[in-house]
Amino acid sequence: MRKGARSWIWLGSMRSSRCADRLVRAFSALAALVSIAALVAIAAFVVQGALPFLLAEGGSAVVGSRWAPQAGSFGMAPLLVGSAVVSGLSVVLALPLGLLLAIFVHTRAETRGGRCARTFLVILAAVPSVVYGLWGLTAIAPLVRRLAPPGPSVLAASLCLAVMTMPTIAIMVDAAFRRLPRATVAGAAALALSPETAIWKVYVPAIRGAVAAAGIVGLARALGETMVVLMVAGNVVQFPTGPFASIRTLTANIGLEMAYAMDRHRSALFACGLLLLVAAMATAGAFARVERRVVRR
Amino acid sequence: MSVLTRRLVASLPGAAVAITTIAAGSLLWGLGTGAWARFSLGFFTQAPTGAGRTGGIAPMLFSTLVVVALALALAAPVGLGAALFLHDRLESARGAGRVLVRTGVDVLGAVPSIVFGMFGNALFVRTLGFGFSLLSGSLTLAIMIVPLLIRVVVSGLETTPEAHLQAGAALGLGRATMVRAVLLPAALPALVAGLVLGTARALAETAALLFTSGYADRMPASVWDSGRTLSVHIYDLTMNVPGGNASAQATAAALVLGVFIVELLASGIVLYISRGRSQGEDA
Amino acid sequence: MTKLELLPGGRQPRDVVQVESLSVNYGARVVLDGVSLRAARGRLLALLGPSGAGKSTLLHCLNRMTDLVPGCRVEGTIRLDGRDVHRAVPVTMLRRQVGLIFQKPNPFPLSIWRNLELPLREHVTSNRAELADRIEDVLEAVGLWKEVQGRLDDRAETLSGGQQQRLCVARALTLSPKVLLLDEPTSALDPVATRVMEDLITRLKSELALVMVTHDPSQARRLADDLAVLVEGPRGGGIIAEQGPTGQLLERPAHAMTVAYLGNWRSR
Repeated sequence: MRKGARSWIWLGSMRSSRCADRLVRAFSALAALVSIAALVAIAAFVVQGALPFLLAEGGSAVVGSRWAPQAGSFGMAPLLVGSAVVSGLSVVLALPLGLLLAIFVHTRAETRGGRCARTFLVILAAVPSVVYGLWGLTAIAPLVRRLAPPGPSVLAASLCLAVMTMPTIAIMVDAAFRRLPRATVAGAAALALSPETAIWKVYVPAIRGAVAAAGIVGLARALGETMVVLMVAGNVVQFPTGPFASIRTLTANIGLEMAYAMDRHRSALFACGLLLLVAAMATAGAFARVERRVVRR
Repeated sequence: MSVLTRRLVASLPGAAVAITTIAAGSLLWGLGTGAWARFSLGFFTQAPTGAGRTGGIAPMLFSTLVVVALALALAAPVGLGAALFLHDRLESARGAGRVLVRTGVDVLGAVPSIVFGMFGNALFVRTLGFGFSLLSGSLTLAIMIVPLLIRVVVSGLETTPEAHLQAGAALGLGRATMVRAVLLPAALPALVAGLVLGTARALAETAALLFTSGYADRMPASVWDSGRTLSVHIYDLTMNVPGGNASAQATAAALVLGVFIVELLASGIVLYISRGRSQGEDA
Repeated sequence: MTKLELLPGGRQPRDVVQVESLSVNYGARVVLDGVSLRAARGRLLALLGPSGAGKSTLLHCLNRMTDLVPGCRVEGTIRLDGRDVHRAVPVTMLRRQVGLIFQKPNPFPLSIWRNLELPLREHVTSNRAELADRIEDVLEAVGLWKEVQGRLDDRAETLSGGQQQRLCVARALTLSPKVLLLDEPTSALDPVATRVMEDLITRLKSELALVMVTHDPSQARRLADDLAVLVEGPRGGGIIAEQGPTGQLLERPAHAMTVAYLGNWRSR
């Protein structure tokens, strides 16, 4: 070992490395600040955009049932109900399907079939939503029209959204199956339960929190999705009278009219965006709560 | 359970697979027929004619490439930096700012894409006066993929073994050295994976681009020009161009092909990096 | 208070580390409860005791690794060369002067050379020739130079466990520390590697103040000059039951708790 004072060298190099540390720290703090600023800016711009409309019309606009921009009437109730019905129905369709797919993948995890199915799910999850929209318009809507016209409808959009969100749900549920404690699996095996009993009576109840979380993720995606509903739901502003009725959602409404809206109309669209933002925050909050419970258990 | 119910229950997953296969098969069949009808060298190298019913998709390919590349270039440093900020195991154990940022990033990740589009339109297109341009589009997309990137990179940083962090702390190594020598190598596969997921997300995005990068189907001359991405092209052909379905399906086939190639490349790169690492450990 | 032996030269050994009434809490849990001790240059102080008595925590306090533990509160004073490490010494400076070797070898997943180069570049020098010089010195000091001379660019994980642990010692030595803390440094090693490591520790003693955690009284007898026995105190936190020169303490333990703890070992 070398001895003797090296303090001057230490001080010198210490200063330079302190400087590098400070740079790294400043860089990461700045980046964090930018991402927070982005969120604040989004909230600020949407609120600012919506404010003139909200100040002029008040909360009554939200519950108004007529959306007719040319007539200066901006009731958002049908849009809100449309969003809720389409995304709710899509989860009702996608969740059981996703759960069943996850069971299929999980029970055949080590076989060629299971691996294929898993890859297939990942591929389906990567298909852009506009492509699902195109498929919905060219394949699903004509099918629905054969049952009852006009075709582009609540049912068509929900089916399409369900197929779109189902892979994500299945992947999440499959991951939860794989996280099951060894003891649970061994316990089921020790009782000589049939595979079906083990799955439905032991595994599925054990991961019900994760299934709920997957359902919320599916709901959030469906609620925030624009392209599919814009292309497949029919875009008629009305309360849904049945599964075959054309409707318009909040997202589709913005997508359709944003390009040309002016003044009050534009502000009303921002109010729609604000509603969406609030709904998205609510689902995100619900997800965080469910996920925390799942993790804690 | 009776034998009958058990059989029934046992057959349910298979039925779900059958339904999914039919749905996915019909989707891919549509894309396949579109590709069969329109794919040629000219489809990828020529400008569209007849509002896109005929001709190619060259300007859209180019616009997509520019928007996605620019969005990634803008998002990558922010994502990496913020992930390093959130990864607090190097520092002494205090910091309320981190909780704030973590929550903020989660919330940002939950914002619907159409709201990103509105915001991009209000800030970049109007307030900052960038107009409908590739720049406005990629800035909007960048903000959109930042939360995704942060989440993936943080999970990568979390794979850094505690022992290495302690070793660094015990040697009094500064953050800069630790980041360069220990954290970045550990997070590299995650960073690549995050960038790829971001690319896939950006390629697929339509709603956020409708009011930011715009519809113009010309070849953009600069980032200040409006440009139509592949996904917007698909939307426009389907909804606004009667008889545009075949072209829409061919474009969708091209887009899906692009997304798959990106994902394939990425999983290859991640595999290559992690295999190189484990080989180093085995030798 | 520790009874200090006189060195052969008749000089009083200089205390490098002085700990006075140190208490540590993790949240509501008391881990250490009023511990005082000294460590001197040229001597090895072993911290002996059952698991859970706070030996490792005490060791980690000495270079403020406990700062990294959430909810950890440290009270009392620790002095390095008479200076309060919480007030008068920047933490980086402290950790440079007080090296720490962990239970499990923890080289960075980099080459052997890079492992040693990192701390040198951070604190000492970035001159290529000086670096090479220093790296050879520290590898020589831990007896690794001949073994790894030709393969400095190999990854550190390719070394055996014992070699990795010695590399970690070499890495700590790059910074010319005054104190080296050893947290059960042989617990992950096989008997042969343990022998080599113990020989190395004995050699290091001449230049440094060493503080070592061990749960093996035999190892303490082989290596330590001074001994401090930690046991669980009345409030759940670790206290020092007894401290003093190794031979004396092991042969004639005065305190009932020491006798109880050593009873197991002595009866073997």
